[in-house]
Amino acid sequence: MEVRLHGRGGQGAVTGAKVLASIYTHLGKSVQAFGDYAGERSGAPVRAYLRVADAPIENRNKVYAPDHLLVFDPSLLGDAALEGLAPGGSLLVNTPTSAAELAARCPAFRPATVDATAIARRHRIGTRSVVIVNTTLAGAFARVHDLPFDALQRAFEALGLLSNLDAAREAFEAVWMGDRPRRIAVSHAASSPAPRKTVLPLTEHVVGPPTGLRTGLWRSQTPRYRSPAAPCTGACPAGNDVIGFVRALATEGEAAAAEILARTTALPAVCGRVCPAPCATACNRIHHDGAVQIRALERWIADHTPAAPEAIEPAPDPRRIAIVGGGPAGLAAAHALARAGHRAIIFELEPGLGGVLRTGIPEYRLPRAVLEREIETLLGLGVEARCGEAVDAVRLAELAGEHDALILATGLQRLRGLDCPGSDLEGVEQGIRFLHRQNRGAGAALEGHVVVLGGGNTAFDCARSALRAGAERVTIAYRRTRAEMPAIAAEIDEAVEEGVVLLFQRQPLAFRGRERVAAIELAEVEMGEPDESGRRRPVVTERSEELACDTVLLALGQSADLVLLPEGWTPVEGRVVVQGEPGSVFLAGDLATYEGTVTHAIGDGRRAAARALAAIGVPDALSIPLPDAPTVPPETLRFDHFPPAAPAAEQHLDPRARIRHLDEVNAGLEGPDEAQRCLSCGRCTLCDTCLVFCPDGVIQRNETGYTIDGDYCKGCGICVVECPRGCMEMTLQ
Amino acid sequence: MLVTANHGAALAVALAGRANRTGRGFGGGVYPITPQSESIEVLCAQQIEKGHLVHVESEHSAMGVCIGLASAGARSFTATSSNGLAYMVENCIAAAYSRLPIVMMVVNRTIGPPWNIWADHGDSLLLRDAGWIQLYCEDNQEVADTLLLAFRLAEDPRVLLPAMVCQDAFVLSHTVMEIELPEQAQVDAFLPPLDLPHRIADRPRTVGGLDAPHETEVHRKQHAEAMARVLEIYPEIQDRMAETIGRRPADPIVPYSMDDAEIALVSIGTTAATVRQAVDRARERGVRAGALRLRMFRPLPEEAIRAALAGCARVALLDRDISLGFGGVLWGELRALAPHRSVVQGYILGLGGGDIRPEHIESLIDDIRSRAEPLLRAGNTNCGGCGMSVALQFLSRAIADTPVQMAIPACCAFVAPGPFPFSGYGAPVVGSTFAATAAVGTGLAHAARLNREKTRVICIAGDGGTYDIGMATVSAAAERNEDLLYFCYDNEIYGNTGGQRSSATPFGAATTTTPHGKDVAKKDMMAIMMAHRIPYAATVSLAHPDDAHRKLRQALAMQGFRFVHLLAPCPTGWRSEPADGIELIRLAVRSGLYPVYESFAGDRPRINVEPELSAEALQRYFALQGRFRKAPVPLEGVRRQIQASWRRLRGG
Repeated sequence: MEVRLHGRGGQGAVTGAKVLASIYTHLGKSVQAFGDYAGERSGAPVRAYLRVADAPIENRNKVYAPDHLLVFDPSLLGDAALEGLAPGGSLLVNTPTSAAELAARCPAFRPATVDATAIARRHRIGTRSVVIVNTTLAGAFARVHDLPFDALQRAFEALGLLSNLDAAREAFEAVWMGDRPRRIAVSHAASSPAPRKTVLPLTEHVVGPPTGLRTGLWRSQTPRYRSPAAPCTGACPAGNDVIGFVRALATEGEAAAAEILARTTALPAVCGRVCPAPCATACNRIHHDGAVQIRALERWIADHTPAAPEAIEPAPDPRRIAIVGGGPAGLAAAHALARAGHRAIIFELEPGLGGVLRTGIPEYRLPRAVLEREIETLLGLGVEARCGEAVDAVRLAELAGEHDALILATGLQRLRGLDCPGSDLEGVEQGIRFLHRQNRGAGAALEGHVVVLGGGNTAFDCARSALRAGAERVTIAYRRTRAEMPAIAAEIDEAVEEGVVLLFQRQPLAFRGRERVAAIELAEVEMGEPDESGRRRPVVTERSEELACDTVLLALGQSADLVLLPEGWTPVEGRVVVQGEPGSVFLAGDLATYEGTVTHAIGDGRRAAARALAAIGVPDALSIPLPDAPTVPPETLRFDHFPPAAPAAEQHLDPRARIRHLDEVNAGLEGPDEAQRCLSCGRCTLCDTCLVFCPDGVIQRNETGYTIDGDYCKGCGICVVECPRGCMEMTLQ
Repeated sequence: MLVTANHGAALAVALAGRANRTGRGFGGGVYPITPQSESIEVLCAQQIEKGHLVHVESEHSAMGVCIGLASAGARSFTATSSNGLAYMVENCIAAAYSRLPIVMMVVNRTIGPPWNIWADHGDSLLLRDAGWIQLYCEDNQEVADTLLLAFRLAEDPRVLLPAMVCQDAFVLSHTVMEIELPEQAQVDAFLPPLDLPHRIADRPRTVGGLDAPHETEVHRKQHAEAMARVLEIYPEIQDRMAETIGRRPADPIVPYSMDDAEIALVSIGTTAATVRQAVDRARERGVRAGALRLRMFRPLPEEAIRAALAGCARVALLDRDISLGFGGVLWGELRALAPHRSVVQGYILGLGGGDIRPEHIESLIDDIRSRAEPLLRAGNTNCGGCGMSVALQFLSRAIADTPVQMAIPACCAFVAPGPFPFSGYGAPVVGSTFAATAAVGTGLAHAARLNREKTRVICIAGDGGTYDIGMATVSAAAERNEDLLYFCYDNEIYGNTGGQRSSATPFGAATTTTPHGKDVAKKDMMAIMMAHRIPYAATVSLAHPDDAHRKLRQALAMQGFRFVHLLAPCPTGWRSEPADGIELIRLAVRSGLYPVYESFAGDRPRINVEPELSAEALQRYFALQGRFRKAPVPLEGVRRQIQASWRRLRGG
C-alpha cells in the first residue's frame, strides 16, 4: 500500500508519515516513510510518503501512484495532489466541509474529511499561526483505514507523543466518511507528467522576477483592522464621545472638540468642573503613567471656545415637551430635544435655571458666570424657560395634558435627617439649606466650630462653604473610612488643604445644648463585614466622646420625593403608569437613577428625552450608544510604544488665601497639551507600526488607513500584537 | 500677438469657423461662465462669414444648438467650465453617441459647491467616459493650435467624434502670452469644409432611433474603433498642420529628459511645465528624473505611455483631480502602464487651484525616491513572522534608493528568495559558499571601486555563517578594512538545516543537537568585532525601529568594514508564537539580555537603549519560548551574567 501526504511546512506532514508508519509497525507490517525536502519554509507545500507491505520494501522511489491520499490543507487539493491516485482510493482531507461535498468534487475516490485544524488548535498543538495537525490527522487516518486505536496509542507512546493522543482520539471519532465511490471509468492514473519547463541558461539569467509564490495560502489566520470603543467613552455617564473630543482637541483644536461635545452635552464647562470623571478612572493610561486628565480637558475646551449659536433645523413634525425641573437632567433633556428640532419648555421653581448647579454647588467650584453662559447658549437653541413657576400635582397633570410628553426632573428633594436626641436644637440644620442660603448670598454667616456630618460631595461643599462663611474651624465626621467616602477625591484633598479636619468612623449619638447646640456626642465605629453595596458595614461601639461645636450641618444624603405625582400615577422603569397604562410622563435624572452626580443626570436627561420621543412616535431621533458595549482592554495596548509622560496638573489658588473669598479654587490647565497624552485606544492614528513590523512588507497605506495584501500575508500576527492601540485583531479564516 | 489663452482661442475658432464658409457654415451656442466667458465674448465680436452664434439660456442648450448645427452639417463650437460642463453633460453624451464632430473648449475649473473658480481637472475628467476626444494644453499657443487641430481631427471621416480642448483656469485662460496665428488661407488649407456623411439632409431618416442590445453593442464598438483611429491618424494631421500652418503640434505624449530617466513624473496641463523645472533641478543634484506630459487623455495613448515609461524604476502620477473613493484619475488609469515591478505612486496636488510650485514637485521626487523596491519581496519563502524578514524590511527602508549588491551564503536568507530563476530579493545577490560571504563581498566591493560605482556591498549572513564557519573570513575582511556592510542576523541556531546549535546559541537553549539545553554561554561576537577596531560596529533591536533605521543608514553611508548584529527571532527554532517576535526582542532589551549599542573604531560602546534590567522581562522572555522549556534555565544565574556583561560593556 502506498500513501502520499500533502501538507504545508510546519503542519508536520513528514513526521505524520513517520507516525503512520509507526502504527503499522505495531501491527507487524514492513514500512517506509520519508519526506520531500525543498527550500520552502513554514506554510509552503510539502509532500511525504508512506509505504506499507507484508514483505520487506525495496522500492526507493517517491510515490507516483498512491493508493491513498492524506491532504493536510484543503487549499492543496488540486490536480497536482490528486495526480496518480488510484480510483477508489481513500482521500482523507483536513477540512471543515463534509465528505459528501468532497465526494461531489472528487467522485472517483473514497472521501473522508475531518476538521483537524480546529481540533489541534483546541488542543493547542503548534502555534496560533501554524497549527500542527499531523497527530490529529493520524487519528482520522486510523479510523478510515480500520486500524485499531490501540495500535495508534502504542505508536504515540513509542514516539513520545502521548500529549497529542486526545486530539487524535477526537479526530478518530469525528472523521466523516462518505460512501464507497460509484464505479466510474476514470482515465486518471495514466496522465503523463507535465512537460518540463525550459531552463534559462545561467549566462542569460540577468534578472530574477519575483517568485509570485502566493504565500497568502499558507495562512491559517488573518489580521484585520477594527475600531472598538474606548473605555473613557464607554464610561461617560453623560454619553459624551470622550475619545472623540480629546482626539479632536489633540489634532484639530478647540473648535472641533467643542463641536463634538455639543452633540451630547449642553454643560461642558460645568461637567469640566464638577464631574467625578469616571472616564479618567477607566482611562487605559492609568496602567502606564496615569490617566489622561479628561475632565480638565473638557473644561479647557468649554472655556476656550466662543459660544457659537447653533442653527437648528426644526423636526419635520415638531413636538412640544414640558420639562419640570431646570436642573442638569432637565437642561440635558431640553438640549437634546431642542437639537432634534422639538420644542422644550422648562418649568422651574427657582428664579433661575440650573437647579443644584445654582443652589447646591458653591461658587468657588462653579462660578455663576460659567453656568450662566451655558444656560444662555441652551436658551439660544430655542428652549423656553418658565422660572419661578411652582408645579404641584394638579398642575403637573394639567401640563401632561397640554404637552405631547412631560419629563419630570425634580431631583432628590427629600433630605435625610438624624433621629437622635437634640436634633431639633437651634444650630443643627440641613447642609443643603445652608448651601442654598449661601449660594443665594442671603445671610449664611457662621462662626466658631462647625461640624459637618456626612462624607459625600455635599458634606465637603458644606465644610468648605462654612470656612468661607466665617467658621473658625470645620470638622467633618463620617462613619466609615476615607476609602469609603463617596466624595470626589480631589474635593477631599482640597478641603484638607484648606484646614478642614476629617474625623473617620464616628457616628453621632446626640446633640447637647440648651436652646442652641453646644456639643455633639460621637460614638466610635468599627468596620464590620461588607454589606450588599460592597462597603464595610459600620458597627457602633461603646466608646464615645463629646465635641464642642457651634453649628452642625447635616449632609447625610437625599432621596426622591414623589409627592408631586398625582394619585394613581406610578413610576415603572422611568415612565409613569396611569391606571395600568403607560402614560406620557417620564422621570429623568436623580429622580430616576439615584446616581447623584451632575453627569449621570445629564446622561439620563438625554435618555429620558429619547424615551419620551420614542413613546410619542419619534423613534431614533437621538442616537444614543448602547451602554456596556465592549471597550478596548488594557492588555491589547502596547504601552512600550508610548514614552512615559506625567499627567498635567490643574492650577489651584493658595489654600490660605482662597478661603477668604468665593473665587474659583481650580484655575484649570495651563494649556491643551494634556490631550496629546491620549493613547487613542481603538482608534487608528496611522502610526505605521503595523507597516513597519510586517516581515513581508505586505501592508500598504491607502487613503484612509491600511490595506493588507491577502495574496501574500502569511498570517504571522506581528501586526496585531504590535498595534499600540488595539486597532487590529486576528481572525480565523 | 500678446493675448490671453481665452482670446487666442476665440481667434483660432473664428479662423476655423470662416474656413467652413464654403461648406455649411459655422455656429454654436454660447453661454457665459467664469473663467471661460472672455473666449465667447471675443468670438462674438468676430466677423465670421456664413457664421452665427446663438446666445442661449444655458450650457445645456449651448450644446443642444451645437448638436443641431452639427447634425445639419455645420461646423460648431462652444466653450464652458466647471459646473457649466456638469450641466451640459446630457447633451455632451448625446453629441458623442451621435458621432457629431463638435469642438468644445473647457477651461478647467474646480466643480462646486463650495464655489471655487480656480483650476483643477475634475470637470473635464468627469466626462472621461463620455466618448469625447480629450486634449490638454500647457500654453496659450498650444490652446489656439490645438483648437484648429481638434476640428481637423474630429471632422476626419475616419473619426467623426466630438473633441474637447482643455486649458487650466487663470493659469492660461487669463494669462497673456505671445502667440502666432495663421492666416485664413493657411487655415483654409489645413481645414477642409466639413462633410458630415450622416448629416440631416432631405431624405427621410430618424436619428437616434431605439437600439436593440446587439445594435448598441455594435455602435459602442464602432465608437471605440473610431477612438482607436484617432491615435493612428494623429501623426498624419500633425504633418498636415506643419505643412499648411508651419507649426507641428505636439505628440499625444510629450517626454522631457526621459531617455535615461529612472524616475518618471507624469502630469497633464500646466503642471507639466512646473514638473520640467523640478526635473532640471533634480538632474542638477544627480537624480535621473524625467517628465512625461500627457496631452491626449482620450483616447489614451497606452502603447506610447508604456514605451516612454519602459526603463523607469519609479513612476509618479500627478493628479490635479480626485476620484473620491478611489484616488487620482491619472493614477488609476496609468498605474497599469508602468513597468512591471516598478514603484508606482500617485500624488494628488493643486486641487481647487492651489499653486503647484517646483518645490512641491521636488519633495514629491524625494518621496518617490524613498519608495524603493522592497529588498525582500512578497512571495519569499521565509516562515511567517521570521525575524530576519522584519530585519530585511528595516534594511530595505534604510537602503531606499542606494544602489546595493549583496552576498549571501547558503542559509535561510539565501533560500528565502525562492528557486531559480526567480528572485525574492529586489536587489542583485550573489550566493556564496557558507564560509566565503565576506570574501565574495570583498570581490564585489573591489569591482565597484575599480569602476567608480557608488554601489554599496552588503553581506547578509546568519550566526552559523558568521560566528562559526565564516569567522575566519569575517575576521580577515575586517582586518583588511574592506568596504563592506556585514549584516549578521543572529537567530542563535543553524536555522536552515533544521535548528542545530551554533556558537551563538545561548546557555540553556534546547536545539536539535543540544536537546537538554546548551551548557556553555554564547560567543561575544560584538566584542570580537570591536577588537578589530573596525570603523563601525552596532547591535540593532527589532523592537526599536527608529534607532535601527538611524544605525542602518549610518552603516550604509560609512566607508570601510561595518558590522551590524541583529538578534532575529525565529519562531520555528525558538518554538515561540510568530506574532510575539518583536515582543521577544523588546523583552531581551528590557531585561538587559540584548544590549543595544554602537561603537566607532572600536571605541567604548555608546549605549543607545538603556536597559531596565527587568527581572519580569527576563522571566517572560524565557517563558515565551519553547526552546527554554526542555530544561529550566536558572534565571538568577542569567541575571548575574547579564550584570557582568553590562559591567564589561560600560567599563569598555
